[in-house]
Amino acid sequence: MPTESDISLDAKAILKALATRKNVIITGPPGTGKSRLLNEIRELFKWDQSPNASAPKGRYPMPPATGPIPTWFPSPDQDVKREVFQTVFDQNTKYRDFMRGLVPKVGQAGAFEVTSGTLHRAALQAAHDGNAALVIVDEINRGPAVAAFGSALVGLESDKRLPTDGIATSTTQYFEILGDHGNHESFALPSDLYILAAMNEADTSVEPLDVAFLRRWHTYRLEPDEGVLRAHFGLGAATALPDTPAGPSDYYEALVQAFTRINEQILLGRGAAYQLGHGALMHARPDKGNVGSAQEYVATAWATLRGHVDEVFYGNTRAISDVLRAESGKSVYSLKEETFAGQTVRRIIGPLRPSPAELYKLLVLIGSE
Amino acid sequence: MSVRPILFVYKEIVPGDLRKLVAESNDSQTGGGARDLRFPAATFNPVMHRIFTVDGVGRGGRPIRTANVTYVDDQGDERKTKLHYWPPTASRKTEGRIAQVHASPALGGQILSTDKGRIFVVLTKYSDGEVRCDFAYEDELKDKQLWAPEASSQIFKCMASAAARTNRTVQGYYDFDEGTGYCHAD
Repeated sequence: MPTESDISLDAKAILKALATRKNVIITGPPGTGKSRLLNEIRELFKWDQSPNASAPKGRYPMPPATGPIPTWFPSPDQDVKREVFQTVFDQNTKYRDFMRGLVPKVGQAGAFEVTSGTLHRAALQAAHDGNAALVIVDEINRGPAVAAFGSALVGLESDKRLPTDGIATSTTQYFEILGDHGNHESFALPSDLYILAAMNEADTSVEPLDVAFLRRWHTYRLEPDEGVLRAHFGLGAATALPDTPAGPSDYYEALVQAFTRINEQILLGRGAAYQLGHGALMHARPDKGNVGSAQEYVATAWATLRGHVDEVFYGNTRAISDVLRAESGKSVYSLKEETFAGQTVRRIIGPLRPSPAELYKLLVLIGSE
Repeated sequence: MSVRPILFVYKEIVPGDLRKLVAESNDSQTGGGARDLRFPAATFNPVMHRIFTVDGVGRGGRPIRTANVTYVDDQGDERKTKLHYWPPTASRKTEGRIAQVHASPALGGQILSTDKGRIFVVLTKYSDGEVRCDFAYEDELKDKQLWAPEASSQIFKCMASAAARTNRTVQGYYDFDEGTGYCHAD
């Protein structure tokens, strides 16, 4: 079992927010650690027995390390069964998948059955005294989230929930759902049910979430973190870079500085949601003692960075040219103007895959200007 | 800092060992019947010497090692007793042994359950120097509330290795600080 000091600051903040608000959305650009955080919270919420052995207890010489659920946790007193239900939304997600609905019964022509979706099952589990449930919805805005929650939307907020003792308060919000036999019945989301979602705010195939939906959630934003990248590469504070790299760390330092500068430019040109997270450049364990490995690593990371820049500034040659310093006269890339169909057309000229020396110079140039 | 296990040694109690524990002969047709729990000396001696830390003198003036171990009696109360670890003999040059197990209240004095799967003797050393002697049952080892997976997984892995090789006893040890284990059936 983890001790409190093992819990990351982000996870702690989200668990505290779940405890008070019940519903939390983690937002942030790709590569900022949303999935890692979901996984960490999934394991923490269950508060399973630790794999680590501890002092003897009765007849058992090596029981698991145990400890009480921290008081700031969601439903700290509910320790009989703490379960996590996970789902991912996509364009095809329906209310019947998440709550209840009718679907044809397999093998029985003309017959239907009532589904019990992820949120419904979690709510039933959490309704028992001693239980708590966490529903994790990844990519919540890749599907029709408002429709998937349907009538349950009105009962999401913490004061609308049914208390643990099952006795409704004046603010408990009931809504109608299908019963097991197709009848209609009143239902309220229990107090010990928590919902944690994650999403990229800006992407090609996402759906907008309306304000009435979002105000029922606490939003926890993650941002690109240069510090995580520096730790990954074993780098200290930013340093001035030589014209010719002296070793692997110079390549990694150049990459980090360029990454930071490019994200600053994306922030100006498109907004924070379009930035690239540090995790996108942490695709492998960096070899800190071999120049060739460092060059390969940086080339792969650059392909990711360049692909992201091309995507977020698609159709805006000027912006891409600015990121690549194509008009500086010092870059491996240059901006060429030509005339086509009576109009001036600009395109960027340069190597498809820069050599290690070209790439180092380019990264230093991007990071320093 | 709270007490934690730093080392444990396990050995499966096979039917022959069970007879030794209740002071009957062993199953061998080749004589003997010594009421000892035997371990391969070459690999286990260094570990056993971390558990049996006190020098002693055995019968015949032979140098042995002893340990004052804690065990839990039938009433659930913790008690202390001394166990002896003997070096290899001239006739059994490769075996160290915990001697006279039938006479020890920590071993022969225990009433074993026969309906919880396979049985193991477990010697555990803790960070405060204490040593425990316990029996572990296969069915209970699967319960993560009772046994930390860090410990039980060592025995299960060794059971799997032993199953793959004929006539191998499940016995081994695990060092919590090093994170390294040894299974004699590997």
